[in-house]
Amino acid sequence: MSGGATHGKQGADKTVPAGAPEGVRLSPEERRRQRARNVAIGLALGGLFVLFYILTIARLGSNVFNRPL
Amino acid sequence: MASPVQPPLVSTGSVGDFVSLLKPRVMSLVVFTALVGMLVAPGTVHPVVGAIALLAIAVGAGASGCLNMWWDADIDAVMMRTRNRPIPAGRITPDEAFTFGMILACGAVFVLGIATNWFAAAFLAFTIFFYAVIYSVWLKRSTPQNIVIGGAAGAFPPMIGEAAVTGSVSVDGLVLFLIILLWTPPHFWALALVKSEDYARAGVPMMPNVVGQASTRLQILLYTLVLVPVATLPVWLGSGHALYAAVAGFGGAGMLWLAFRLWRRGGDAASLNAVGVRTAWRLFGFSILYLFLLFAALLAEHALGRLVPGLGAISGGHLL
Repeated sequence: MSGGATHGKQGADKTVPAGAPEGVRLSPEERRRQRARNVAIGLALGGLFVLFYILTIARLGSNVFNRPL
Repeated sequence: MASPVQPPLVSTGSVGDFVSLLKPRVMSLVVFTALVGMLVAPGTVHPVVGAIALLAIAVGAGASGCLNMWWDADIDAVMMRTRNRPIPAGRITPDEAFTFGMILACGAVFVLGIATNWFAAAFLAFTIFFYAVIYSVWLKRSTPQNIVIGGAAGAFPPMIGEAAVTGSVSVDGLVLFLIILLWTPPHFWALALVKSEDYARAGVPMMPNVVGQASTRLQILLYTLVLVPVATLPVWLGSGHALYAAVAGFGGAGMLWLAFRLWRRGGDAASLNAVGVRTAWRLFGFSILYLFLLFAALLAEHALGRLVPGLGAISGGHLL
C-alpha cells in the first residue's frame, strides 16, 4: 500500500503520538484522494439526477402539454 | 479468487484508478460499435434517448471490465503488461472493485431498460454476465479457445445498439456481430504470439502456449480468410455502400497479406523470428485500424444519408 496510513497498533510507535486515539490514520495524500472520491461520487449522483430528468422530458415529448390546464 | 496480493486495509485509490478499472479504451470501442449498430438499425430513436442508451452500454462495458479485473487480479499481478493495474498494485481493494463493478452493472442495465426497452437491457445484462463469468471465470483459464468464444462479449454491442432502437435484432446486426467475432482471434493471437511468455508465466492457456507458434500462425490465417469475405456481407445486404466496400476490400487485402506473411515467414514451429515479431505487431495494429475503418465507413455512410436527403438511399436507419 502506498502512502503512510498506519493501522491500529502496528505502526503506532512511528506515526501515532502518545495518547492519541488509535485506528486507521490517513496520510494527507490519502485524505486528498478520499476527498476527490467523495466529490466524484457526488457528481455522479448529481449527473444521475439530471439524466433521469432529461430522460423523462425526452420520453414525454410533446405529451408534456397534453393535460388539462 | 486466489490473489497473491495482500489487499490494503483502506482504499488508497484515486478517482483515476477507479476510472482505469473500467478499461476506458475498450469502452470507447464499445460505444463506437454500439453507435454503428444503432445507426444501421431499421428504426428511429430520440437522439437524447439514443445518447443515454449509449452511455448505459458504455457503463455496462466498463462494469464488465471492472469485474474482469477483480477476478483476474492474481493473473494481472504476474504479467508485465498488467501488474500496475489498481488491484494488483494494491491501490484498490478487491472488495471495492467488485462492489463498484456490480453497482455499475446493475445501474447500466436499469438505465438502458427504462430509457429504451427491456430486451436491450436483458441483452446488456447477458453481455456483462458473458464477459465476467463465462469468459473471465470459466474460459480464460481453461481453454485455448478462450478468446474465440469470449470474443462474443466484445461482439454483442452493435446488436445491443440495434436492440435499443428497434427492440429486436436483424440480419444487419448479426453480421456486425460476426465481423467482430471473427476479427477477435487474429487480433488477439497476433498479440499472444509476441507476449506468449507473459501469458505462460500467468498460466493462461493462450493458443501459442498450447498448440505452438506455427499452428497459431496458421489459425490466424484461416480466421482471416473467413473474416475478410464476411466483412463484405454488409455490401451484399445493402447496409454498406461504396465507401464501406472500398474499406472492406483494401483493408481485407491488407489483413490477408499480413496474415499470410506471418504464416509463411514468421518463424519455425517453436518460435517467431524477427520478421514474425515485426509482422505480428503490424497485424495487431492493423487489425485495430481495419475494424475501426469498417465501422467508421458504415457510420459515415449512414450519418451522411441522414444529413443529405439526396443520399437517403444509402441510409438504413436514423437517430431522428
